[in-house]
Amino acid sequence: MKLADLLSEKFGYRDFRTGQREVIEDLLMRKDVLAMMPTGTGKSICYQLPGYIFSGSIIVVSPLLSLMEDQVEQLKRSGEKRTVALNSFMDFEEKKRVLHRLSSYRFIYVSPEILENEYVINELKKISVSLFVVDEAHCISQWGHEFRTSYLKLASCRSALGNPPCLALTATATPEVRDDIREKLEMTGCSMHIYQVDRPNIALTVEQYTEHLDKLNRAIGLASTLCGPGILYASTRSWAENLAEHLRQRGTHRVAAYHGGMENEERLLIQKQFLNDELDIICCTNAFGMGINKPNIRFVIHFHMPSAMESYVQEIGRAGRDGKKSLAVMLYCSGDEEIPGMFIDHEFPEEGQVLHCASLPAAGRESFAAMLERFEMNESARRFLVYQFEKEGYFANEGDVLPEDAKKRILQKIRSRKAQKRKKIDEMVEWIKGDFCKRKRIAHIFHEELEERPEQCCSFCRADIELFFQEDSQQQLQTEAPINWQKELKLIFNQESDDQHEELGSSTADPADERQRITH
Amino acid sequence: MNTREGLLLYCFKKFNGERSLSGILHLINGKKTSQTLSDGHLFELSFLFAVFPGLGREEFEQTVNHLVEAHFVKKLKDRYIISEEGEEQLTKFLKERPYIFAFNGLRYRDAEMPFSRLLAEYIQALSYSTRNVYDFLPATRDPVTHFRVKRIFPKRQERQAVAGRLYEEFFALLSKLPEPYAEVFVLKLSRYGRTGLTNQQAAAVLGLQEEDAEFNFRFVLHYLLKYAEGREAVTYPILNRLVNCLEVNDPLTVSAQKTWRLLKSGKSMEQIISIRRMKRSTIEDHLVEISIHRPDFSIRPYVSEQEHARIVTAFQQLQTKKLKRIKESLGDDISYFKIRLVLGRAGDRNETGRSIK
Ligand SMILES: [Zn+2]
Repeated sequence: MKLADLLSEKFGYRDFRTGQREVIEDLLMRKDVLAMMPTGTGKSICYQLPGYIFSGSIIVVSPLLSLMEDQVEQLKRSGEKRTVALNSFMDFEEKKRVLHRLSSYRFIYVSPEILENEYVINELKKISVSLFVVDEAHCISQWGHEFRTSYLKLASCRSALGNPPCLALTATATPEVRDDIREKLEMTGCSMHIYQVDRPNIALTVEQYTEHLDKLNRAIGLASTLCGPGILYASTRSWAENLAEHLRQRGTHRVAAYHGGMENEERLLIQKQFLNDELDIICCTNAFGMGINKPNIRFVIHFHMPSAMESYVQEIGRAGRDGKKSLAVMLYCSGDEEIPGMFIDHEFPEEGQVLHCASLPAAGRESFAAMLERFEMNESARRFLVYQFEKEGYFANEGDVLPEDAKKRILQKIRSRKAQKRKKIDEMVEWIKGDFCKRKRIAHIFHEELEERPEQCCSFCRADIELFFQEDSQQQLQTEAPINWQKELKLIFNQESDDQHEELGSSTADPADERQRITH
Repeated sequence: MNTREGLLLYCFKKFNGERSLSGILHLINGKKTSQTLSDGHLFELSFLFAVFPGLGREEFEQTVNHLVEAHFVKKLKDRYIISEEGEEQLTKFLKERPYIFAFNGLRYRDAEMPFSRLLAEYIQALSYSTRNVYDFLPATRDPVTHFRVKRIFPKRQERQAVAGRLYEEFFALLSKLPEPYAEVFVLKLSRYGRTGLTNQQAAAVLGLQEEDAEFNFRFVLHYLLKYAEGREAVTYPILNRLVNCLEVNDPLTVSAQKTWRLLKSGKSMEQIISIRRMKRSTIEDHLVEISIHRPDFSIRPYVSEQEHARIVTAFQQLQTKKLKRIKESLGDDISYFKIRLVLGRAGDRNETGRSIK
């Protein structure tokens, strides 16, 4: 069967998108592949399609639980039942059940953390693995913006599984991060597929303010006049809530906040409402977005700057996946860079904490990790510390304290990593403030050649932001129908009267026609 | 008056100044200790256990101060007592919420979220699949819920019939409730054509405070659980089937459960103290808890019949649940432990021969 036929049979697409066929062909030749493709361009097809050609299972390492589960759900919905996600949040019984029938799965999604579990590795060893996929591969590089120590063990894990071919996927990685990925994953004779970071259909504008209030007013003004749906990024939970509240007060009702402080259930509801076009605007922290595939996002406004150009490019890349004209607005007020600066300090343990831990006699990795939880240290700082101590052989010598030189190495590492991160922020600020074509500079940072500039290029090239305003600015008039719970209950259980029933019952149609009954 | 104020008034009335503010806070924000559990039982407030999970001290005290300023509660030294005006407000509050006692924090605290996830996912799947639409995102990300729904979800040809019956069950149960409860409940569910609302959104649509919307929703969950697993379960077979997927929890603290297992295996109190290497007072706390929640536990080895009778008499004469006053009237040979055991047994079953009101 031809690849294109398989693509349409299994996934319902007629054509490959840029790069997919090339990557798949290399994988079929059993090559290691590093593929950099912008988010939303169908990275997952690159390993899902070979899944129907290879005889063994495909292991997909994914850093985020939600991302993983979205993928599994998507596959299941498209009819692929032989899919499973293994993660540390599964209860014991469920995990046991899955591990005992691993070989029956075509796609096995795993978190990097669960691959540290020896029992899991041993079970995986028993099955035949045709492809080892590392999603968000930039997480393996400490030069990258989302370094995760658990990724560093993936190479040894892959070799334990008999060195199946490896596919490393990422959306944004600078050349040095790409080199790092190849090295850390021990990808020899690796074939590289790099597709552009530049998205010609997204206009890039930057606005600078000296007064915070002016910036706030502008953000609210823009969000309520730009053509939606859109995303407003803020750096803290309270700002995400704040912006949503401001918008509501201005009469924009279909808006909600989304951040890590909300209950899982509530976050999922917001996400679904946005995907189903029941909401126009999401005000969120960077917790929102990964794995969200909504084609018609028209604008992304940054109320606060992210901490690196990589994050920025990834976040604005959520706009315009349908290829239509979209807008990215960066709103900057002097001093904004202090917020990501503060985050950096929290990402690493303090010097005193390192020294304290180093002075304790070693007593096993688990109890060490448990002890750290009692410290006022965030998760990434704890992970960093456990990993560094392990690397220095601390847990191997029970009862011993950490030697002087090891202590120095760790402290040095913290200092240099913080300095790197600060440089990333500086790069971001420079991009914001500089008098140059914003698009050209992004291309330059990611070592791309810019072939041509679109008409609506960037604020430096005088892109016209008014082109992105709603055509008639009379906001969606909200007719709030009074709630009738009896009627709602009928709708829930498909108990409408017969004529109505027929109309709804026959459809696989767009549920949108009903949506307006209740607005929020 | 919002739900928190109303329920706090109810607590003040029941506690009648016999417990400190902390005692009330720990009860309503769900701090599971032997003390809270036995207080809840003693003052007939167990149903309000964890009614406001995560409520902080500061916010709690603000509400209390608000009640004091409104003269609904009187402050006497460090104790708080409901005023006559407060009583009136409370009566009004309870009248507007006739089923409030269906809330059962002690029993359903741990089951409410799994139940809510199960309903959300099951009902959404039914809502879509009865319209032959299968392309939708599940309502939760919880693998346990997926598993449960998969296990009990009806076959294709039965779905419309099950939807019809479940509709009837919900209609019958929700019809008995005041509208705001039913309204919040249906709005929070996702169906074909509309994603469920968050608490904040539901509150905005209905003109409620967010905490009230959340309470209303949780109240309906408790109410459904009660009817779906209680004596009337046969009337609501589909709901009953849903509830049977869950493990409704044990009201004992984990530590007291261990003590109870040891007791049942024939160990004496002294042996348990040494096996568990715990203080005597801790094990005593466990026994008090056990006496409340395990009807098959006999308190006789710890309190003689004659002692029991003396404690009951003192309690009836003094008309107080203040242990100190009861203890003072009884003298040195009756320990606090014995008094708590007897009062623990008293609670709902009224072995003291007089209902505690
Ligand atoms: Zn430009």
